[in-house]
Amino acid sequence: MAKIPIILITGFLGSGKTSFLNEFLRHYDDEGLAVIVNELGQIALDGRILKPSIAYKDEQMLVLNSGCVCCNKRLDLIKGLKELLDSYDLKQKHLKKVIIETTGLANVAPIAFTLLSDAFLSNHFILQNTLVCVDTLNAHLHLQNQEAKDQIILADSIMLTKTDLKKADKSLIQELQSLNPSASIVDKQDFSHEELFSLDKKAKFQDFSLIKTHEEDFESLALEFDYSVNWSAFGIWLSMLLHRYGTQVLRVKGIIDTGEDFLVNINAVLHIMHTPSHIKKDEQNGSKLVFITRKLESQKIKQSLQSFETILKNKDKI
Amino acid sequence: MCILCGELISSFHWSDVSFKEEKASISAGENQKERQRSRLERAKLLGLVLAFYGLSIKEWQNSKFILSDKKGKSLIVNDLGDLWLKAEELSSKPIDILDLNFINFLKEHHG
Repeated sequence: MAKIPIILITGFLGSGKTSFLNEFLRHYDDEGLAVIVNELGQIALDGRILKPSIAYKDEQMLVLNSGCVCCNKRLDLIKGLKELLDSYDLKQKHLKKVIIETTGLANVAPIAFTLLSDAFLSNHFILQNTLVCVDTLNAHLHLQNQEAKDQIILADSIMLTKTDLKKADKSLIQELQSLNPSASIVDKQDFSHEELFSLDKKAKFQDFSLIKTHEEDFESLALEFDYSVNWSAFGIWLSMLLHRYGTQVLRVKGIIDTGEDFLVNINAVLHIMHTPSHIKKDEQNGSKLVFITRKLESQKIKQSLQSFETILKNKDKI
Repeated sequence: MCILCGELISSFHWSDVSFKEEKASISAGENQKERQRSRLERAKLLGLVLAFYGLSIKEWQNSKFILSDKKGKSLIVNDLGDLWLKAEELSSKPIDILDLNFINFLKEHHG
């Protein structure tokens, strides 16, 4: 049976996550859809949209490794999702889709880690997309916070909210692109609600020449190579990179041409790697990779990948 | 569950994902040959990299890898997620892909 897709909605405090969810639920009425909302303190959702399918959960974290944010398990999610599936089974209904709304300060990495590392959850659910809400009115203010920046870096899609009050200016778009060049940016006003579950995780490759290296410690690097890559060799290289630099390589996204008749889509958040998926081949050949790093010279990654070239090109048959 | 050692393996490492389409019915051993081929290939490629650390690796029984140092000390390795931790146990050098000495080694031997 196909895995149940999960859409994760993040965004800084007051960035319009709940309003978006509110609008979405008003238009989208399907009993196969369940929503889990993480509460922070006493924030209550508008009573009108309270539906039986919405479960409120407090964050519960199982700290597995104190040195790394991403390798913590979210106990509330494991329990919440299991209960959800059970309750649908009992009612003999079919759970088709799940939306999780995080708190404004939540980190996405432990959620992704939980979904991938828990044996039960990884077999039943798949994290389809991480959508971050960015409010055009207060974005510049929010972006001074590390949590808000992390949310953008770790997201797959960026949704601009409150654009009816203020259109996104060029400097904001540039700032978002320089933080996360691989994310697609959508305007809430142009977004139709049916699209939410068709958003995919595939990296977007914009014109990287426009993107300045971000101030502070962040760097992004885009690489392209025109040869087909030995998948085994690429796995060796990337697992070795993430082994040591998993906390500094914030994102890796890419499309790898392995010489087969499909392309491999990869997506990593810190040292959590989403299960690679295969996608249809397009007209362009070759592989593309995007790295977002913190406190790590991205040129070193380029150098290391170049030294691996002969191994990556390896075509010897055994 | 690994039937050879009783170890419970609850998740696959991402690099072990197979992209070949799953067929509804397969005859016994049909995928084994392909699996073994890719595991042998991986062991061969890993050998090129691990040589820098004075380590070698062997595929074992289509289920594990055996990592050894030159004195003959060996460890069983499940997958690539496991490998680098264990390589650090056996090697005196830290496993650092961005280390210039390592990069130069690769360029010299496989450039």
